[in-house]
Amino acid sequence: MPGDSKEFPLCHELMKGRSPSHVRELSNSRYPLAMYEHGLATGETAYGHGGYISIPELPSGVAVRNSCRPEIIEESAYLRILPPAGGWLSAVTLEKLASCAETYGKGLIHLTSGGTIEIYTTREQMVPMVRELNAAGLDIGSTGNDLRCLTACCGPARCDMALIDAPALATYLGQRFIDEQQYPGYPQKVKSGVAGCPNDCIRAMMQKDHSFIGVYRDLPQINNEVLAAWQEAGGDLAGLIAACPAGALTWTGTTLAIVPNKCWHCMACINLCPAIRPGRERGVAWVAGGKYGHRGPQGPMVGYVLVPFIPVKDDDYTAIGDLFGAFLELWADNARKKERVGDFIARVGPLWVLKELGLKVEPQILLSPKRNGF
Amino acid sequence: MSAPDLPAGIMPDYRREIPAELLARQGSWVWHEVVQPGVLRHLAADGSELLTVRILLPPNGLLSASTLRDLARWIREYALTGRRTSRQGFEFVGVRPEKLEKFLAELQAAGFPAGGTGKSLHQIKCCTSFIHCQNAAVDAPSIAQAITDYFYRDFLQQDLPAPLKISIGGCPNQCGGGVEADIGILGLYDSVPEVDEASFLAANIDIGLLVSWCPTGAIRPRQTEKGTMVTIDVDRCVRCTSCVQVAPEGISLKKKSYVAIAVGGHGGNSCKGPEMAAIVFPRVPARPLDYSAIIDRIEVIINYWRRAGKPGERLAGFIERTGWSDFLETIGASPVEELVDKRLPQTSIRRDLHFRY
Amino acid sequence: MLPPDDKKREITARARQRGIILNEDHWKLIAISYEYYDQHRTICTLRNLIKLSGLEKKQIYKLFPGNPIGEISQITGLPMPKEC
Ligand code: SF4
Ligand code: SF4
Ligand code: SF4
Ligand code: SF4
Repeated sequence: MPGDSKEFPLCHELMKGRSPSHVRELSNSRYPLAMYEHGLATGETAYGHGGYISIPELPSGVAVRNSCRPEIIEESAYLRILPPAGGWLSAVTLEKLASCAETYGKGLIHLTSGGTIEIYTTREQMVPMVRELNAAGLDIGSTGNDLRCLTACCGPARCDMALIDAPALATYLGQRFIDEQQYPGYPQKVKSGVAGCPNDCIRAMMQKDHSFIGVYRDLPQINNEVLAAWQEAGGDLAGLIAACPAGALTWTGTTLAIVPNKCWHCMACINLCPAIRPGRERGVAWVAGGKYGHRGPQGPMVGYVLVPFIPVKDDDYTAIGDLFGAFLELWADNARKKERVGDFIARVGPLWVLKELGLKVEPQILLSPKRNGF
Repeated sequence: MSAPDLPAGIMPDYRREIPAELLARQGSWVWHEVVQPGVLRHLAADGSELLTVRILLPPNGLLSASTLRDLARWIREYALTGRRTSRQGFEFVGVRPEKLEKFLAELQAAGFPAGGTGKSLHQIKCCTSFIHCQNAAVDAPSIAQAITDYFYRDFLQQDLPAPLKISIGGCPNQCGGGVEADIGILGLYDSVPEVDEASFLAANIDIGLLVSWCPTGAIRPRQTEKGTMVTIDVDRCVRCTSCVQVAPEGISLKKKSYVAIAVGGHGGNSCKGPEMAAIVFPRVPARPLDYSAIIDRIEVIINYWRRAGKPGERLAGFIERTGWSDFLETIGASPVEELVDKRLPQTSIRRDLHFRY
Repeated sequence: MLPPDDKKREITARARQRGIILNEDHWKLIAISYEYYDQHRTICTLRNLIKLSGLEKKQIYKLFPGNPIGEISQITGLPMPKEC
């Protein structure tokens, strides 16, 4: 704990609250608290435009922030570690990260909002730290103009909604496209994600340039016996029927049924009632173009659904991987410099993308047919 | 050199993080429920159970090595494995039921309380801002901390109409999110970037890229005797700062900043599809560490929703039912003219007569 | 399209300073970079370099480690577009 409440009064203030404090974590590490205090005191960050540094052995996964206060710290370099899909972190991995951060870094680990893991360090310590991470089965990447932040939801190991094994698909893609994560060579970064069902807990459709979302194609399955038990235990049937956005749930007086062509294949009824389970015909929808950033001509946007259903059978992800790779090549060959996928698709048009990839335009991807004759 | 080549080309296999006994039950879960705030129970068809404890982490997922060791120790003692959530919280999966009470007490004592599940305020997601980023307009982590402290009770109880997720991005890059959340807080710059002629000309800037990155066409090339310069149209500029990122040597910004507060973003496809949050308070001061103006407005929003929202109704659904005009009036959103989308007016100005008073 | 001999000596020296001993493949990439710059007034991107040279991305990273285009720019003096 810093005895320096006078030296860093604003940082100190942030340790007084009831909830877990980031400043407490910072001060338990070798992070230069004076940099943060500078930001809080002046209302301006103490970091300057940095970027991607060149460590000959490490084409990606290393970066540096410049400092506007060189007397505190010359620069702040950091490693970006490829995270195990689904956010899973065992005790062994957590301890490995802790010891790497202590031995080679500032004793601080950052679980970033993008889903990666960063350790603040110095340029000299990078290669030794990477060798130790490698020995523990971890590696770095995901900086610069490359395949970034490949993440997944927790998947069927924990989730009762999982339609596909999202972390397994993300791991497959990450292994197959490992060079793309470690050797930058695209016009711009491209973030990817895999969600196990339309609930999309990782917000892949909005945050990721390129994502696959688990979907089902047949109807949700209703077990009327379980339903009766659920009602018995206080389940609110009227509320359930009202919750269906499509008005597709009907009650005959004895059984609950779904009007087939009304159903949107969302998750509302499935999320609410244990007697309704997702359909069995499963696959992924392919969505491209999402981003949060207020950058580029389009600003923040939800991705375009390009293919509504790609079947997944027997955990064979080859066809999905082929499409993933083919689209990245198409984008990389045709995008303008620094053009994110969303801005690219908006410019060339979703139809052009589908045509170039030899894919059919399914009616399900239409929000509405056009309303003019052009 | 005997050391192996770098990079090693390892994509970690998530299965290594999950013990065999849990992997063996993969796909067996058919339902889950929230037992109490911070504790989830997943049920398999055969009646077996899996307990998860979710805790609050400090804003932004920044953890000291000693905290990471604590998490590891807790996994070893009480659970099968752990995972970081996509909202920068942490979950212990496979918690031993007989040790649950002791575990929860230990977590509470260590300052990482269980909570943020179901109809509560979930972990606030945010970016690093002043801690480690050059672009930050405002400091998202300290805003997150202030909001978490103020609404602390709502993390630990589940008496909101529905889950409430708040995300904070320190600048228009939105690394921390914001547009996807029930309530999003967006750090923005107040001033229009300024071009410094001498340093701009000296810096060999890619003009094509610079112009193509401006979303509003506010930045235009202009030939001078000394080379190609650019001018920024003050009225068109939306202060997204893209130009500053392309040409930091020649274009700079007076770092006056504020936040906008947006509501009604949601990500999943349960019911309506994903939708971005809409700005209701376009300009709220955010001078560190005086965040009372932000907290007051969030409280007004939450209180109205808490009072009038139906059970299970997320903020977006609530606003859809009650209508924007009522919502904006009740929370005192202003000024209304600043809520209109400057770039895409067709998305925010009504083209029917379905007024609600 | 290679630069004149005195320029080549300069390039060789600069490369050596950066720990790179230029071989035939290096010169091939440098020649392509010059030619591309001549036509487009901007340095060749890595993707174009891969296409024009027929070399694989990883090979190019071996030849000019770290950041290939950055290295080529440093060694040849061809201007590098600003990264953001
Ligand atoms: S996206 Fe679906 S499968 Fe994945 S964690 Fe969320 S509910 Fe479960
Ligand atoms: S999946 Fe959605 S649309 Fe279909 S019946 Fe259930 S709630 Fe209704
Ligand atoms: S949102 Fe802006 S301030 Fe926050 S980490 Fe990203 S670039 Fe930095
Ligand atoms: S801040 Fe954004 S809108 Fe304004 S000139 Fe720069 S790029 Fe254009």
